Amino acid sequence: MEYLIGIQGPDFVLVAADTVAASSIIQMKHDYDKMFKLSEKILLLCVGEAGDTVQFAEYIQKNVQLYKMRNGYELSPAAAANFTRKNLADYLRSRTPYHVNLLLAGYDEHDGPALYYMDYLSSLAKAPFAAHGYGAFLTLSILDRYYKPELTREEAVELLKKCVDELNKRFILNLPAFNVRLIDKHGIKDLEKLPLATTSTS
Amino acid sequence: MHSRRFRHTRECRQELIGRHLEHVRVDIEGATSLHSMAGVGRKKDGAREERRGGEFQHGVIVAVDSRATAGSYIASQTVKKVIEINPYLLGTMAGGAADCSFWERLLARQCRIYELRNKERISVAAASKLLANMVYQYKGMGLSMGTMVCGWDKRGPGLYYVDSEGNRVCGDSFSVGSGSVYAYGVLDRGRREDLSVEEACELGRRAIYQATYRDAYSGGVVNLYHVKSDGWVCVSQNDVADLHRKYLDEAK
Repeated sequence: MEYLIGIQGPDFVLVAADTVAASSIIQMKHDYDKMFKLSEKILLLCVGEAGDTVQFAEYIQKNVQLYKMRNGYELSPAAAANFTRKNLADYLRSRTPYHVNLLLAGYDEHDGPALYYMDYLSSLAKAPFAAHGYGAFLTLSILDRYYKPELTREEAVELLKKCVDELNKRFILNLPAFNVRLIDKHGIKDLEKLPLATTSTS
Repeated sequence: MHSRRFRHTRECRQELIGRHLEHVRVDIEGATSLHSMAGVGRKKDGAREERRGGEFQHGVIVAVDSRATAGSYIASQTVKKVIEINPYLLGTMAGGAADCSFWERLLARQCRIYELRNKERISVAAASKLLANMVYQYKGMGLSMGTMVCGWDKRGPGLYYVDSEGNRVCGDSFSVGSGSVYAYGVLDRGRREDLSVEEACELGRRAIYQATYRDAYSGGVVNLYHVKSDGWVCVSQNDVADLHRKYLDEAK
């Protein structure tokens, strides 16, 4: 039902998430934001079971902020990803595991852009592109086919549009809008929501 | 995704036919399941929803029915499903009656403590977050609660949907309960940017009426509240049968 996608470029990471908050067959909200800002250059995209998503993401968010307050400097994206994974793993075999699927995207001054894929079983993988949800089945092959490691920002947005068009064409559920954000050395930037009115659906 | 969390919805729909009378009495007293249209809360505010353009500017309209059921038995037609948390905050009831009234009463206590500690009224966002965090601790243990926290704080009108699954979303209109799907249809199609207070009240009333028409677990009377900047007022109480006659006559 929910869809997350991330594409890493040479000096940026582009992420997008659908904006539907659903409860069984009803769309409760059409403009729900599934991205959580962990720091100036790290975003956590979180989908999964109701309640678990917000509670877990906010827990990670507050802890990353606390680290910054205590130590005077921020966690790097790699450290934040591993911290998140460790928390997921610790809760996995408890009475209350968190059923959440995550994408963590960030920009580090020394290591550059990074995209991490995490799932509810607390696996962690650094990847050039990644997606979560049923929509991932339809779009991963598009990413495989058209992705190049040195793609520009415009090319990344075009690739994202290809994925969204494919979802609009073949995915049985209606995902009317996507939040799109770009992280680079200047920080997090909101891009235009997709799909655009003029996007073709063929 | 297969969650090991206990699915409470099936539990609430127990068949009572053939059970001993003793058990029936316990069920009603214990956790009467309100599988009925609880609330249609709408809030639109120019200040808060600037990018949506001017929508309903006058606060939050809350409309509820008043039926309580235990299985297919109608336990009561006169339930108060709007809980008055404090003079500027309302909560609606859907799901288990005991769960809703207990937790919202606890929320009222927490809101009052907040006021005493901070010498300031609690915001709708904070009140709904308190409730959401409280029930999240009991996730999977069988609580059944779907509620809308409606109020007016310094940021304007506020409407949040909170349930026992852990959902908490802010929005400008929601519909909760077994008849919610029917109410959504009428509510969504009747919404306009320039609704007056009377028109909005009528829309809420009509949405609940249409839900009671189609849903067996909704009925009784339609209670309507309006949350304004200086607090909530109870606008009207209309029996669904009277509304039915009125709308039928209008259609002729």
